[in-house]
Amino acid sequence: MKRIILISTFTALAFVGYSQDEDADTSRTFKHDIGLNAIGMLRALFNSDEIDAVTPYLISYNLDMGKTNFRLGIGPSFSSSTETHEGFSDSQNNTKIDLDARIGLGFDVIDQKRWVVRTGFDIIGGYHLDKTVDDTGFDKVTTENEEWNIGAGPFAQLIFRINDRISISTDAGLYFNHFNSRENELFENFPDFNNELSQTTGQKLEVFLPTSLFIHFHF
Amino acid sequence: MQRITLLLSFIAALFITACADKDPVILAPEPQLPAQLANYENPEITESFWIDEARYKVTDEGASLGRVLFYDKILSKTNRVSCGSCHAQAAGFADPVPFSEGVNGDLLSRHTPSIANAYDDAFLFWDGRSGSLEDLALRPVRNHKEMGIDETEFIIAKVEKASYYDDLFTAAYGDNKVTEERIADAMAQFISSMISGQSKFDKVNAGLAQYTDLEMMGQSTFFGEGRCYQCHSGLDFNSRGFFFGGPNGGEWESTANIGLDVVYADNGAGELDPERLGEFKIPTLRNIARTAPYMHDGRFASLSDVINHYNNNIADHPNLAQELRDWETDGAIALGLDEVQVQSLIAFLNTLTDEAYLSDPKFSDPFE
Repeated sequence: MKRIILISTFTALAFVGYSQDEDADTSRTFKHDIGLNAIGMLRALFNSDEIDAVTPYLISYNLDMGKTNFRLGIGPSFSSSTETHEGFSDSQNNTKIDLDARIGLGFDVIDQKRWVVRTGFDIIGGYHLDKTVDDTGFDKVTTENEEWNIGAGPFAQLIFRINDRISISTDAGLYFNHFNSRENELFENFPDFNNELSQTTGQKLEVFLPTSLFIHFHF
Repeated sequence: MQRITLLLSFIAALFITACADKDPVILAPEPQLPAQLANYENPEITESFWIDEARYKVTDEGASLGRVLFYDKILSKTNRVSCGSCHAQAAGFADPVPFSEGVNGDLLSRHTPSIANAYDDAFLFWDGRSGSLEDLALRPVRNHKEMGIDETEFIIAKVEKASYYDDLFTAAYGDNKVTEERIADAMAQFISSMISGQSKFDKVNAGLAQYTDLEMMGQSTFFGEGRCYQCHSGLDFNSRGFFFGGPNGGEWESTANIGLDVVYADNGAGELDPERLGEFKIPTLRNIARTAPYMHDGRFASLSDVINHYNNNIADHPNLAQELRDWETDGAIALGLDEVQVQSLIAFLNTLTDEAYLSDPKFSDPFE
């Protein structure tokens, strides 16, 4: 389903692009662009978790310096929900924070009128927290899952220029990540039994397949 | 000068207050118990039902304490689930869903079994891994998926913190000291006290009621063509008490492979003994009409689904119980009961429902 939506969107946008006046000036006159993750928007629009946001970055920024490009990406996400149960001072609060960022340099290896293929190198980092507080009156129990990661790796980006103001792109990356995660349990009324359930430090290779779709606005 | 002194005193008082250790604030609900202890020592039963008094070790005080512990959610890590959260009285102390939800919201791996007349049961859980109710009582408390407190000291600290246990422990054991053994013993006493012996089946046996024609036919099918009694035997229809010599002094023959699958996702007693692959405890049929869904994984939603399994869906597992094999071909049998026989069997099984047991206040949740 996700792929169909992605391909349909990409095709539709390409069609719109080719339908433009071919004489339109598509030379790159703008140095900056802001990109929005269309998959993230579709997710929000359809309120569906089935559409995976395959890249964690919601907004990107690109500075065009000729053949070289500087790029930034950020993916903030925060959610908090409180569930109140019937009974005596009985509630459960869940907080989730996800923050991912990348910074990179790219080089245009193919630069045609409509198509650009760009490769480069990113440095990435992330912080994730999933915290649940159970308050039943007898005790307040906090369960925390916290993880941060930092890594780096090459990327490849395919860009299609719809016109001089709008383009779309997808990219793939292979990142080597160092991560640290830990899980804690904290008992407010029984601190002697606070518990570090696990702490893991390690490395992993992370592959981002080219299934993301960014819409860029140039200025 | 006076104002400065006053101000400094005020700030100092605030500082001292802020630095003082805060006593934990406990706002938990308290159990509502009857002014006079309920009668657990001498349970009401029909004349035809009998209790092995040598094995029934229950006091009113012990079972009263056990009842509070059974329903007390503080025995779980997040204080959200108790034994009674999964063992619902109205459902024969089973859970009306295939898999109950544990302390972290994860589904448990086996269906919650019903409870009735377990006081003399030495073969507990679906795989018989526990040989006594005292041993059974704290296992779900410690299980990380079920209630999630694996440290005995933590269990004791929580019970000690709940003030309503002082009087209950003193009444049951002479003083308010909380120990692991006392918690297990009190819970075992409460579970032991769950005697279900006032069903229509018991009343008919005592000459106090009569079966309908359909129920009578079902009884004949149960003991005859349906072969049910070959495994579901004894006073509780679970074969208990007939075969001894298993682990923990339990009864190995209380398990059977009933051909649910050719390859089992859950090996049951086979996890403990490879020769018992696919074998599960033969459950009591007491209150069976109220304990749906059925089997260790809750795969059958109704009694007719269960009977349909025996009627024509028994898988020929290598470990299939001999009772479910054809004597001549050695293959899996198909009962082939007709629709009237199936309905009559269900009618008979309905007579095993003990409404008094399922609504008795002394087994209910004292926190509600």
